[in-house]
Amino acid sequence: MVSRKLVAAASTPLILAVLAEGESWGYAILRRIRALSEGRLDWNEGMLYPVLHRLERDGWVEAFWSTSEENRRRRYYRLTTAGRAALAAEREQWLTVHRTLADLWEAPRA
Amino acid sequence: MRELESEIERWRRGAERRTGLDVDQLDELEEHLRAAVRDELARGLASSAAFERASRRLGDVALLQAHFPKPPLAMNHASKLLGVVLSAAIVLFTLDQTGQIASFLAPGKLAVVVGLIAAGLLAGHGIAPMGAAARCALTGRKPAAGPARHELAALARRGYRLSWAAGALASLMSALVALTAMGSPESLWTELARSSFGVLYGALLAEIVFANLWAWVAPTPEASAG
Repeated sequence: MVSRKLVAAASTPLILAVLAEGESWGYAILRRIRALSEGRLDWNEGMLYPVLHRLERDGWVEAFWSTSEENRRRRYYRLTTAGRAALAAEREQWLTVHRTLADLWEAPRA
Repeated sequence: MRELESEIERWRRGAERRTGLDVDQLDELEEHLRAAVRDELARGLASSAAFERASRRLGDVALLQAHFPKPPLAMNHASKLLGVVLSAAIVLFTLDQTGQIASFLAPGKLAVVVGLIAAGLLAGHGIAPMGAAARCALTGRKPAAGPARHELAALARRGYRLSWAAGALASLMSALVALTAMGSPESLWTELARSSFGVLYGALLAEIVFANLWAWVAPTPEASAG
């Protein structure tokens, strides 16, 4: 299980990346991340909404109301242009961290 | 299914009362709850167990952390501090001019402010949560995360707002009284300075008592992520 601290740090790129696949809504975003990580990310509702709403305030995602299959009001989110740029920057940073660690762990011991 | 609907309805009313979320936020979370319940039902859970599980996750986590009641910061901390310092400066300046001390601390005004806050809290929350809050404050024991803790945060938030409002009201009232019952024009400055104690007491109660009460029961930043 990935620690909650690390998941919290990764929550912004995770949400942005899910929304880069297409517009989505709270529960579906949560389910998508759970499914992709096969439950190994300790990810829950308490992390989703604060981050989602912060991204909205920052103008990285925009929310709109649509209707669900049951004809109920549902709040959807989609990436904005600024959000796409932010995601690209996040991606760059995470890949840098990933590569650095991979190099360290895969390099033959001196 | 009718039972499930009424349970969702009850959940929504409870969430609204405890958190003060607006219609849009409640709609968003209710949709989340409904989808989670559907998934639990699809897993074969009975309707009451499905609701129980879904609402526990959402209720304990999303409501308590994502939408935890925050003190309404009408002004930012810097400008509030400036306000408190300025009123203190006015009071002290006048104190120096007149040399009065005891009557200046205006204990009556403090009583009025505290009374107004208590009345407002009583009207908004009833007696039980206030008793619980007092017990927590006296024993130093936080309630476990859950509705009780949420209620305490809502109480702190309301108390915070009420303190500022009660202070302003007390000042306004005493300024009006001072103006109408003014003996001599020279005492105007003194009376106005004295009335500013209302705001000062309100500000101090809000910032020292209620903001800290809120911070005390608030979830840790790590838990709410960001």
